Amino acid sequence: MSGLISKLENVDRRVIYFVLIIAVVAVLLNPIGLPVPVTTPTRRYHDAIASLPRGSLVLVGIEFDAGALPENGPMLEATMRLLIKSNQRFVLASLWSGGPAVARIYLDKLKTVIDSSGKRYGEDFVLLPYLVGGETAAAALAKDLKNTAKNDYFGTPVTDIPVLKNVKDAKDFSLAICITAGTPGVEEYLRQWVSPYNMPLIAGALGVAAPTYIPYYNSGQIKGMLQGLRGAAELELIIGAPSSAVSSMDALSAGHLVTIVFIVFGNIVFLVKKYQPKGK
Amino acid sequence: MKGKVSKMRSLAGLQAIPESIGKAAETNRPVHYTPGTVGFSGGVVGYAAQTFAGLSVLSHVSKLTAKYKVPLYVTVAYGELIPVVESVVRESYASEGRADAVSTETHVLYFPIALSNAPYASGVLGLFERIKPASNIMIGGFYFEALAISEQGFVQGAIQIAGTAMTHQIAFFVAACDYTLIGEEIFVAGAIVSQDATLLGSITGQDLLKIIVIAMLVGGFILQNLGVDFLSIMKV
Amino acid sequence: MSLPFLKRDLPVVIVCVTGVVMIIGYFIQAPEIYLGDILGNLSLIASVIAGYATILGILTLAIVHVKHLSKRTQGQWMYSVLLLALVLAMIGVGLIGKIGTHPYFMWFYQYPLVALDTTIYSVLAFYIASAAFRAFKIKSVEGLILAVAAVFVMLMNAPVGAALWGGFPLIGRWIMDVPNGAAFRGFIIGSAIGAIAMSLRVLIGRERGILGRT
Repeated sequence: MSGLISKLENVDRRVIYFVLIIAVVAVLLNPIGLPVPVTTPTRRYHDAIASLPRGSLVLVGIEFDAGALPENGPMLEATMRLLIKSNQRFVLASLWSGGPAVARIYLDKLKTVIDSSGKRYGEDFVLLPYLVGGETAAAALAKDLKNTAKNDYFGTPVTDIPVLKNVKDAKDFSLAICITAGTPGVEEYLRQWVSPYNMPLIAGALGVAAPTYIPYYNSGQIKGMLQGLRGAAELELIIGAPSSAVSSMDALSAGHLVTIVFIVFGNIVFLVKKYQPKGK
Repeated sequence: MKGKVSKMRSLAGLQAIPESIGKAAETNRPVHYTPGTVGFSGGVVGYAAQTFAGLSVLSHVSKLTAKYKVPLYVTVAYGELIPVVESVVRESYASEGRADAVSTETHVLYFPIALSNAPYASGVLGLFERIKPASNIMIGGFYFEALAISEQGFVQGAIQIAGTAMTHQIAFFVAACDYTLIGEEIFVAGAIVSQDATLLGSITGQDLLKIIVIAMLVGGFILQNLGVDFLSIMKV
Repeated sequence: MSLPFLKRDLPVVIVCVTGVVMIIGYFIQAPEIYLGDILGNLSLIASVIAGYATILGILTLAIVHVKHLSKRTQGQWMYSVLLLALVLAMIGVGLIGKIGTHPYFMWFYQYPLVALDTTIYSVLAFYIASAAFRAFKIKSVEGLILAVAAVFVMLMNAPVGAALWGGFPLIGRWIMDVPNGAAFRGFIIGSAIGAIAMSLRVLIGRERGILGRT
């Protein structure tokens, strides 16, 4: 008996991996369709964009790279869809070296949506190149955009880009959005855009990073927040464009349940071993 | 205060470093060390400080590996760290009279961070499979590779000591490692192991600053609730 | 200038002077002490040095793998060939036209690189499960609180939690907002103060292990 308990207590990690794979693949192939209630932070994120006057200029900070694409990518896609739907103008910028490439992936993905909305590159939105320097670049962008990013990502001088024609500094923006996988990210925007210019900021953060930003959300420094893939799914549902995030929710549930089952199982075995009579 | 060095509470993680290197010596397996994956640059506030902390502890670890004649593998993620790490290791070995052992017993490996930390993570995972370290010490700033490396270290049976001030990785270290230095503990680690009076004095100064911040928080809370606009006074 | 001064003291002087200039420029905004251009140039210098350090790193990597290739290191040399070939290919396509914008470069980025990056990142899901199985053993009261809080927060995040019981999201949200928020506030403040102290020690040249000193 004690041999069995020891084996169960130290179950091979590959068993855990196998059960997790089976659970996740099973629900991906046979979706359950669990409802995804929309939470207040996501609602506020949506409302911060939707309530802007039409034609407002928004900064979208793409502060993540390829590794975070599965989680932050849907946030960016849903955000861009919402910006287009609510007829806002936007500037895509990035303090991460992989950010502009990620932006290009989603600009290509949303090409049909952009074309059908009548939005045109340069007139309604623009992609800036990678801004070197982290927080220093964020500060410089807020202070003097045209001297910080002299050309757009494709090499066109910013002075020739209509959407940036009257843009000098952060005061010309109505909202800043930071979709981030780490740093530089939310805290840099808080220090360089929110504190000096009182810029409203909304954020999309990885599930693992979201707890870090809760204090800023609760204090009102961040007006709305997407928390992980769940937040992206909620936003997709609000805007009526369910996509990869929504389709991943059942898998998210399955993965979480498997982890909880193993935690409970491990504790049951641990407690049985601890309290079993000696000699057995 | 002048001339006095405050008593420091012990940090379990720091005290475990000699134990883990001793285990490496007994089992004839190497020690792996990483000063983090955030480097010096990128303009990120506070991250370079974590790398400095990692380098401070590296000097202590490399002196111990020199003393116990244990192979040391140091992995770095940024090119700018290579000469600094090599210099720290070289000076540590020289201080133990084993400058000749640097080329044979120490290895500084560079797994570049390109567009993400995945190359570094996969490089270290592969390294662990090959060298099977007995001790894995990770002090500095990390991203998602923190958990991956910690788990692989557990699989290899290494004693793991980790420390970071990265808010979203500390939980993984606490869950996966044997000893963890949490947040500011990594910044004082270098001072504690050096036992330098000036550095220990700076820790006392740091704690005094914390007391001032706590006083402001409590005082501000009381004043706000009494109707005094404390936030305006602080010009927040 | 003597060699010890050049090796030991001059780097500290450079660190101290540039650090003080950056601090003054950041905190003092008076027009009489305008340091904006100097700060901008210093940041630019730092970025350029980082860029050159990346080249140094790549060259180091190339030298190591060319050595493996020339010595035909068993079990390693074929991977060195693959690495060197891919590095050259990526650099090559990146230099076509305007740097980093060619469709071939985007193809390299989007299909192999993104796929491999996300694969390594996805491995975390499995590691989290096995780490949670080990870490959440209830060996004490604190362990019990940790495990219970973890379960509630996980079920708050996953839609299945709300489907099972409406209390999971509510309690999970409270845990995130109150205890978690409080703990992270303390963590952030403490870490920031620690970073300030560490940075001051570096600026005055008292921190060992920096600049290669022990």
